[in-house]
Amino acid sequence: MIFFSKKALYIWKFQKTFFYLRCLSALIHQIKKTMIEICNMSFTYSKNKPDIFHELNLQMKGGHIYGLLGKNGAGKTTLLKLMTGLRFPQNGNCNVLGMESRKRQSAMMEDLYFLTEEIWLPDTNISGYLRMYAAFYPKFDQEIFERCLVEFEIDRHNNLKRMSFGQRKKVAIAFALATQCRILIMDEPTNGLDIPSKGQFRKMAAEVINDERCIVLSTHQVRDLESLIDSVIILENRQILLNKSTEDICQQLLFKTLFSLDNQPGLLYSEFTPKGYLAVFRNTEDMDSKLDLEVLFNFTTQNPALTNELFKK
Amino acid sequence: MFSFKRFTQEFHSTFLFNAKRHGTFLLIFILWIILKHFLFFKMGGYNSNPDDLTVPEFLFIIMTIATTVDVFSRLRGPISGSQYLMTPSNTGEKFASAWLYSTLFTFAIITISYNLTHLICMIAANALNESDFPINMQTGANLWALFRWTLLFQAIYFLGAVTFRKNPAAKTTVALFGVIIIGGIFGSSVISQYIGNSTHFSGNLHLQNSNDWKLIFGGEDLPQVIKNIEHAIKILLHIIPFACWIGSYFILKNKQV
Repeated sequence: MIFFSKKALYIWKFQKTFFYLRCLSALIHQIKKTMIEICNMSFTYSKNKPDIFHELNLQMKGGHIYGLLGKNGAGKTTLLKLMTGLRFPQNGNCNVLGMESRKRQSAMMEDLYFLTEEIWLPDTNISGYLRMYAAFYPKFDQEIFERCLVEFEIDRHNNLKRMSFGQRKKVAIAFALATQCRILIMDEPTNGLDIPSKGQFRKMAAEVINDERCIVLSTHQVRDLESLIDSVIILENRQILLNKSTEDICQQLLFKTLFSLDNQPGLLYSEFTPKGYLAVFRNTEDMDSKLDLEVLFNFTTQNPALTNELFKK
Repeated sequence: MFSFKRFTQEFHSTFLFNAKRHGTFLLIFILWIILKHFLFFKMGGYNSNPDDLTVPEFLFIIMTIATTVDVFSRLRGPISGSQYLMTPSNTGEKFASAWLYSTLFTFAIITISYNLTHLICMIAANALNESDFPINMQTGANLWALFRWTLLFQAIYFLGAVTFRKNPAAKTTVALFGVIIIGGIFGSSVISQYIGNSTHFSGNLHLQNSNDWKLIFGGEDLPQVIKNIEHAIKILLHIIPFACWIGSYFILKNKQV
């Protein structure tokens, strides 16, 4: 390059340095945004049994609500337990917020809350429960907790053991949201909730998500959380079959309801319902459609090779 | 890194979790002491020996065991275990709070409860009956010896509580009896090689209050190997609690649910 003056040379050097600094900053930002990172992780419950996971790789970034889907026995709950350090992998590692999950360091656990499918609460009332556990979470917000209880219509004077399963679930969800942890992992969060509460849960979860936070929802009840999830992870046969944002999925696939399957070029998959055929097409014309998680799940699990080809990295 | 703040929070949580249940044990204990005093003064069931009012050492040990097996009760279920392990405190903080609760705290509460109840009962009974029985509190060297024995049992059941998911008290007791029986068989077979027949090994049980094993063997000069075994047992009794606590820490650290 020829520079007509020293000034021009210095300006060029400054711009080049500034460009590299921007690239480095973006890279650091990407690395920082990764909240959960699983590298070559293998796990089995017993040496005599086949692996639940084999050399699994997965990254979860801030600002997303991940839906973790899989058949019964695919290992969803096991994966959540590996992420939270309740189970240890035989090979590979799982890092949460830059810390190894199996070490269960308090710094990690202060920013990670795991809501299990079955809820255990001590034999006390809500105030007693808060006295026992709230102080462990430095960012715990009493106001958020009270607001959630009001929205869920829970009487805080009742003994937790005497509440119904759904009521205990609501208290647990309220507590989880009030901890303001950066990572919320929930196993079947809407299981046991009544219909109005499911909508309230979706609203509350949508309100708390930001770039610094990540929510992982493991569920079979996809209809409850379809509008909330923005990234889909499908577990099948010891591996991650699909890990894409809903936007990416809708760019590749088109979801339609048809009355007849006659003369449908590009049809990849269909299933019959009383309201018609739910069909999946390759989205060659960049059209918009509403993602149907149930149909997507059935399509990917029945066509793993095609799924891999469509969503090649 | 160990945080004193998290440690106190963990201790507070352990206390609140167990308060109701252990409070009930304590209430039964206090009522039993009151009943004992009532029987002593009213029913004439004793030979007017005030030492009959002291609490048998085994009760201190039983109470300690009962509280110790509960400190890790949340680990018995997968869901409660998940919540316990996910509580934001390190293994060291969880261990230290459980240890403190089941040793110093429990022992202090039992001792204070006994002494206070005994004091109040004796003052009231002496006043009502116009008697002048002495008030013998659990103090000093007696208390220290009692505390060392409770620590031994606490350590063993602490290890059992963190190891066994179901019925830790029963399983630990079975394991303990098993070790004692095996140790006893081994010890008696070694000792019998050196001292031959003795009335002390005729199958009768002797309750010895003294630590002096020479009494058991009739005051004879003991063979060196017996002295070595005696010495080793004394050292072992001091090592066992620390070994159990260290084992408990590592089991808790690697606990999975």
